[in-house]
Amino acid sequence: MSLASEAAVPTIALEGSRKSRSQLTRARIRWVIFGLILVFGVIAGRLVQLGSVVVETSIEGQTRDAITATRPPILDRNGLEMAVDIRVPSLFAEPRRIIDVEEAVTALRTVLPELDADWLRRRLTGDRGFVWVKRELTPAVADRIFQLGIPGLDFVTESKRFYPGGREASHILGAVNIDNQGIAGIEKNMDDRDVALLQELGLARDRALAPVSLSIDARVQHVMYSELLDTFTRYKAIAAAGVMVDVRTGEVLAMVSLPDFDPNNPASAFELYDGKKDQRFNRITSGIYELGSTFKTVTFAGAIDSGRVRLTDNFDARFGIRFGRFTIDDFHGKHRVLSTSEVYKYSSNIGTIRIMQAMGKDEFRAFLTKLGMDKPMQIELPERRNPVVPEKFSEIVAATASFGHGLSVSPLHMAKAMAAFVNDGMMVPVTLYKRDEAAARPLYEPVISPQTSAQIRYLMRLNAIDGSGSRMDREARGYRTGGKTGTAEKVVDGRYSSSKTLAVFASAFPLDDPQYAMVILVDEPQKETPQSGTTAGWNAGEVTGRIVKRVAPMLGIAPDFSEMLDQALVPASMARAPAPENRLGVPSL
Amino acid sequence: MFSRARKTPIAEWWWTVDKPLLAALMLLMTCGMVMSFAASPAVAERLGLSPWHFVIRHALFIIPTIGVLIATSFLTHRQARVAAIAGLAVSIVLLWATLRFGVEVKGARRWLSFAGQSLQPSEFVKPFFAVIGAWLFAESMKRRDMPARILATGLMGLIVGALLLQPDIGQTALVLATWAALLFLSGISWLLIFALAFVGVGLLFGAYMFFPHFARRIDTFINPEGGGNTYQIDKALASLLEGGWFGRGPGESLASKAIPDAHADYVFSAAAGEFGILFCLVLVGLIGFIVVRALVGAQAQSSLFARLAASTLAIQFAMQCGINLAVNLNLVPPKGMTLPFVSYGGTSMIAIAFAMGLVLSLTRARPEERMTTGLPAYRSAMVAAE
Repeated sequence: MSLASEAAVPTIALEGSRKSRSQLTRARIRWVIFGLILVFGVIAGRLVQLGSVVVETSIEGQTRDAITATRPPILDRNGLEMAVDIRVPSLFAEPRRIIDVEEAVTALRTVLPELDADWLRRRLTGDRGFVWVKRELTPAVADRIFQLGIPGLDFVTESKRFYPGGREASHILGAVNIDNQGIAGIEKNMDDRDVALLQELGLARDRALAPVSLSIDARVQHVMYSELLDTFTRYKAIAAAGVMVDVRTGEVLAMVSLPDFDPNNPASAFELYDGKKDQRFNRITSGIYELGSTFKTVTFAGAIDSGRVRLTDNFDARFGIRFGRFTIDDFHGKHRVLSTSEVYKYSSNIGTIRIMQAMGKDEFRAFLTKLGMDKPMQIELPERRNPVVPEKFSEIVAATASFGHGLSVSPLHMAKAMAAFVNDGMMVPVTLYKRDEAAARPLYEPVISPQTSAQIRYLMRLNAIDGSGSRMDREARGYRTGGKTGTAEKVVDGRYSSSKTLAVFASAFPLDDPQYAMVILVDEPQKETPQSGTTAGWNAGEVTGRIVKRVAPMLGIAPDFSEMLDQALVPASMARAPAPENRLGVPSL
Repeated sequence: MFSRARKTPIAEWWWTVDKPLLAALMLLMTCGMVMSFAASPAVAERLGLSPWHFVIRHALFIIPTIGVLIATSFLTHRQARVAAIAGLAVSIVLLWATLRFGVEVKGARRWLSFAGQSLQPSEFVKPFFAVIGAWLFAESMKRRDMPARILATGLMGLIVGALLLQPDIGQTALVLATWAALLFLSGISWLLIFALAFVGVGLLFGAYMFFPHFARRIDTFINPEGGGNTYQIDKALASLLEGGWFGRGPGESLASKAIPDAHADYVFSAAAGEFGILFCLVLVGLIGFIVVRALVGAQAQSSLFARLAASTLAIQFAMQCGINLAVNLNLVPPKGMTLPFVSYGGTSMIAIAFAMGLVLSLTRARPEERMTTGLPAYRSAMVAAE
């Protein structure tokens, strides 16, 4: 249809021809259809254009979804809340829409006087589309700001993480940053596992997520926390840490490391402690230590399991052992021939070296590999440090390693090994998530035989009754606890220092039916009273006893003072030839 | 009931009504209902009502709407004219009555309230004016001695006068555009058309000069950073962008919850956040189909009156949809205009049902036309067009 033919139309219309009129209106309707298709085409085109826009969903570099995202609540093994989400409004501004910056600044400061006027002025001036003004306000404050009616200010409802327990489980839970992303602990682990994925899919916005159940028992955690806090006043310790695991399932029931931080204020993790930096890390997983004599339990387990050492064997501990220009001697040694159990009880370095040598240094090194001592700990916390264990043992390195020097592992490595030693030799990976025994069994990995395990239980209990663990046993009477002390001299300026020590106690209870293994560290303990000592039995041991005394009833372990239970621990080989000074073998006290 | 053997009115209606057009209208209403679920709960909660307040009322309005649509489509040409004259007379009276008895909302008197129901007469004026205008124009084209065009223009003046006094610029523009469409269809010369278009631009400019709220909207549209209130359109665009091609899914869109008029004028963008731009494209396609189908049906009519009236009504529908969509997509300055059959609003829905019912009735295949040419209606139309 051309304009030329249309131009002729009015003249025809004047003639009043119905035919051409109807032709004309039809032509005009065709024009209308053409025009409307054009209009709807433009609308569709605009839609396509909008659909092709790559949306900038970030807020100052963070995705908006992540900010409003919810996180699953974290519960302890009994369903107590350890971390929850609360919804809080956050104030942002769109500077390009603010009409009068001065007025906005003045008005805002009537509600938020803590904001610096100059800072606020600079913040609200300019052409940006989004700036935070103040995040995580209370609803009341947000409402007052809303009532000011300042254009260009708006709120985003953010999820804020709250930890009802405060500092108590700080190293387990970790923390989230202001954008609600896990930055430490289980929070970060959850993000790495699946929460991040959920949030990416948009499923985690504005809705409740299924809670995550941890293996932690908040009651046990509380007891351990309060007892370890007590070491700071009682022994003037500079740090303390502890971990308790369920030997059958590998679940961590409690994990405390002091000094700690407040997960509700994550910046507190970087605060100085006693004028020093970096003191607030998790000593259980990301601290590695020469654990000293507690490591002898490992040496004994390996040696007895190799079959080359029996409990009834005797070892010459009369003289120190020379390695080149070094001589290794015993601390308050007996300097006589000792039986295997006496070596353990008196914590003889000489005897332990001889036991290790009877086993063979390469077998000893292989046993450490079997226990995973030279591998990073498998635990759901990002804060981990690799253990330092020499690749090949020379004579002297093997000798020092046998009593826990010259190699550094995390306390959790030790706890895991202790758990395996008392759990019929079955090692199970430790976890912070709830797990039942049925789920744990397929993960079992035998590291020593059940017979060896029985003998280690006997040694541990023996040490608690007669040896360095007796102060512990006095505290936790009736709970059949056993363990090994370790007082490791700390390296100060490249030399071992006898005044600065790390006291460790590695234990398990109740030994007639082993359920829990625990490792307690007290860093640089002082004498409690002038009469007391500084070795581990005086501090780490007593702390262990106090913890056992408080948590055992909660965990359903009834105290039982019957000596029959202790006697039942004595292996058959020992029962035949009881050492005279061994109370376990002799009914009388 | 629909048997061809017995010539009941219903059977006759069924075999002559434009079924694809009817189906498309029903589909549009269904879409409107679905979109109401997406868009209106947030608004209802903001107004302190139950979340399903608008959804329920929307569903209740749909029942009479379908009734009116079907009933109107039964009318013959003559009945349609009579109904339109009566309707026009009543609604013009009501329109003027709003000036005196109307309820003032946001500075304008557009609503009449009786028996608890509020009514916007201007919504009803539009379709009736289109039909009567078409009839007058058709008569004037057939018989030169009838001063019908002048009569139509007078009617237009009567309506526009009341609308300007309310004031309601949007409806004024629609009525003026209806009149212009009639002029265009009736075949005035292109010279006159361009002259009128020039006058139209002049009128817009006049409105810009004399109506401050209108001027403000234009200013804000041209310069959105100028401090004008762009909240609604910002949120609408945010919702459209948030949804992307496939939408966030029902209940998942956050941006759409912030749109103040998500249940009414901005239902399109609100639904985009949840159902995505592809859904919106389908919806635009559906509206386009309705408009083109109605216009093609109108074109095929041999009766000049039917042709003019049906196409004018279709153009009205198209303009209303087009303006609403363009506003939602920030293509034109914001102008309150509901999306027919989709936006919440009883008056608007029933008025549109009248309009589209009339389109259905005017585009029905007519056996009497078949008799004159011996060909089916559409064939005779083709012959006439050739």
